[in-house]
Amino acid sequence: MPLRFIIIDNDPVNNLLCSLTIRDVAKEAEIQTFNFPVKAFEHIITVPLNTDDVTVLLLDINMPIWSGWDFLDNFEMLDEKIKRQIKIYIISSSIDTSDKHRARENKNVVDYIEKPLSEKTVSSMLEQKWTQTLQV
Amino acid sequence: MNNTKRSDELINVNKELAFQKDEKKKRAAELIIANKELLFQNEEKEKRAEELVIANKELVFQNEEKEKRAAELVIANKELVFQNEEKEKRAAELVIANKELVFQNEEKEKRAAELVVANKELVFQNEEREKRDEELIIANKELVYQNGEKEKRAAELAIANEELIFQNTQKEKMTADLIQRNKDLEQFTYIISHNLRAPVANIIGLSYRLQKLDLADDIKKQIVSGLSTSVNKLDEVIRDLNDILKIRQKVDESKQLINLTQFANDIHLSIEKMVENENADIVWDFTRADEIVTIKSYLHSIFYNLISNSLKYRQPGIPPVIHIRSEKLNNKIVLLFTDNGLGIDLPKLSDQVFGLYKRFHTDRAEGKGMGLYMVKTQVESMGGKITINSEVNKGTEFKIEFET
Repeated sequence: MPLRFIIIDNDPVNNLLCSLTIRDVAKEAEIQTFNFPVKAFEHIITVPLNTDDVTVLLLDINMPIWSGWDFLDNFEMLDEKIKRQIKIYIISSSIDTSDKHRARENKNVVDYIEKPLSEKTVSSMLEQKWTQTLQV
Repeated sequence: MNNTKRSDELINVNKELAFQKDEKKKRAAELIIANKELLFQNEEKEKRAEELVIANKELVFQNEEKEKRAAELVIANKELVFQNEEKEKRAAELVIANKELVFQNEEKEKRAAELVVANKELVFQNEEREKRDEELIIANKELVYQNGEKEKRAAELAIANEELIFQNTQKEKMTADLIQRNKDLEQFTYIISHNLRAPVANIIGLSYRLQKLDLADDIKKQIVSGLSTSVNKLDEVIRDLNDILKIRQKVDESKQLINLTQFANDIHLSIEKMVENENADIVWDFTRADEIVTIKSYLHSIFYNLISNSLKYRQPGIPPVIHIRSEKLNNKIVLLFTDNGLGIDLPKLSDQVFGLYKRFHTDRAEGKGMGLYMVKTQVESMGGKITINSEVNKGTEFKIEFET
């Protein structure tokens, strides 16, 4: 049961909203928010991860400097061990179908979520049985 | 008996013998006369014979002559015979040749007959050709005339064609223009709708949260503050949209003749503070093209935004220097804004520079990322074109072109 969440969005209001929603469903969840994807990326590669932990990462698309896609491109280059432990969901206010499609096509993305984040979505994330073996 | 007979017989015989002796004597006497005659004749014959011998010799001689002649004649004859034979051969050959000639003559006559027929045919065809030739001459005159007409048409078509080509080029320019405008609009629509949806999504989430019971006070405050921010953001986007649309529709604006040097002096006041703060140096030179027909407020916005942009993205530690100059090129007026700022990584970001809500170097300056978008919209709504040239850590140059 993942109790670690990372939220990456340059919009602080969204980060607030997601935090509140997650907190409502999982009171003990550890939530980290970032306004700059670069900083989030640095955090991921520097902080040592416990092999049992699973982190859910909510990633916005439209951000200056690094967009969500840029973040994903860089994420792809990371070690398999790290990638396995971080489950990325793209969360966006965009209702554009090509964005949805592109998100679901990416092999490092679990799913695409439309803002605002709902409690139902958070619950289903927590109920996922993440396997620790290598994904095919 | 017998002896009587015999004696008779012997008497008879003796009579006969006596008679015969007489007769012989007569004969002898006759014979002597005859002999004398014969002698005489013999002498005559000898004379004759001598004459004959002479004559004979003569004859012999003549005979010899004749024999020579005859021999010659024989030879001549043989010759003649040979010649005759030759002549006969010739004659035979001539006969054959003659038959051949006759045959050939018959052939020739057949040919001649055929030629006569063919000739008649040719004469007939010639007459036909002459008729055709006359017709062709008439047709030719007709064609020459038509060619003349066609050349006139062709000349007219060439002119019309040039006209069409020109119009086509115009249309192609317009089409390219329209396609670009359309792309811009699509992008614009995408951006606006996205920028509208973002705060709306927040408002939905936050207002939902707000309806929960047992909310802690500080959480409530945060939510309400978030709502306020989002609503204002929404309002802002709508206002931006309005501003942009106004420019696109060129509402309330009309062009006027502006003197650039004077204009620059005028705006200097409004940017003075900004310039002083950054310790900047702004130099302008409009000697090559000092007058321009344009919308004053747009020109103001363009100058303001480009200068402000250059100041915002200056190289830290280096006093910013901005050159503004004008040029006349063919039938265009060109405005150039050059700075020594941070520059932009063009190959990577060229189509985002003038993008709506696009910003680079967000760590260095405030701003929504609308300044350059507005500049571009304003330039294009006046029929102009703006391009950028830049090198990271060296500087940037904006080039604006207007048709006169």
